[in-house]
Amino acid sequence: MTRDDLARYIQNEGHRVEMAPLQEGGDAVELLFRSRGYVFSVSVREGDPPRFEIATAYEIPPWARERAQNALALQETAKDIGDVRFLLASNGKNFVVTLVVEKAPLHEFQRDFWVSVARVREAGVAALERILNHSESRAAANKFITSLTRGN
Amino acid sequence: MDADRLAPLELALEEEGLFSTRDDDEDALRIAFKSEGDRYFIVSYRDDPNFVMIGSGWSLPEGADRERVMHTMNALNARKKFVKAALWEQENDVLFTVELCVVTPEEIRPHFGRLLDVLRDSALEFFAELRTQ
Repeated sequence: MTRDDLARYIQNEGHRVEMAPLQEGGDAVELLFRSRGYVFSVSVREGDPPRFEIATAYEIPPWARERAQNALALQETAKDIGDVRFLLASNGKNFVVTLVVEKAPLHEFQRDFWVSVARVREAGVAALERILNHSESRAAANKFITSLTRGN
Repeated sequence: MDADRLAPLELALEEEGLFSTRDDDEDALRIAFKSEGDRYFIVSYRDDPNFVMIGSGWSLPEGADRERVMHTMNALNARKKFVKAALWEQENDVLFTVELCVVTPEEIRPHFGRLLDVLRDSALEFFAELRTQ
């Protein structure tokens, strides 16, 4: 099975892997592993060729949890980066970054595996930076407006 | 001396989700591990228990210009925190190490991810700079 071969590959690369069935049922499973402090999930749908999704989640700091603003920031980042998807989750506390790899045989997916993982990670970092920058500039603007209102 | 003084670093590796193997002998305690397919090691010498080294070795590209390699390594050594880069083994390999003086390796454990990132980034930057010069 593709998922077993991929799990063995990730383990041979040095990482512990857990396998869990996906909620939607059927053959699909996700492989979970850690890299550079983040937990990544690779969902595998068996087929010829198989379909892979690499995803990880980023926590949004409590002071920056402005849902509408953050949804916009994620949209803008997705537009800049192109091939990743962003999704706000857990009531706006987290967002999930996903890279879908379709029509790739396993050996091709494995060849570029760590590059794909890096793309997911970098996309997440870029999105988080954008969210924090928006929040910081908003906080600065609010401070400025408040100070003007007070006549300082 | 505690024969298993590297145990906290094995735990750190477990927390990072990585497998590791031990290879101790009468001179040193050693851990070998891989991250994203790249090989790393941790060494502590029995006669110098406060010294801990985390490192990785990389082959230089065939025909790499020695002067260019030295210049790139020097720039890296001057710029990067923690890391030391050196030519190794008949000068065909470059070794990146983080060398630390600790009372116990438990002190390294909370910073292990950061040190591993620095090692990884150093190798990436070194080879990227070598290619662009």
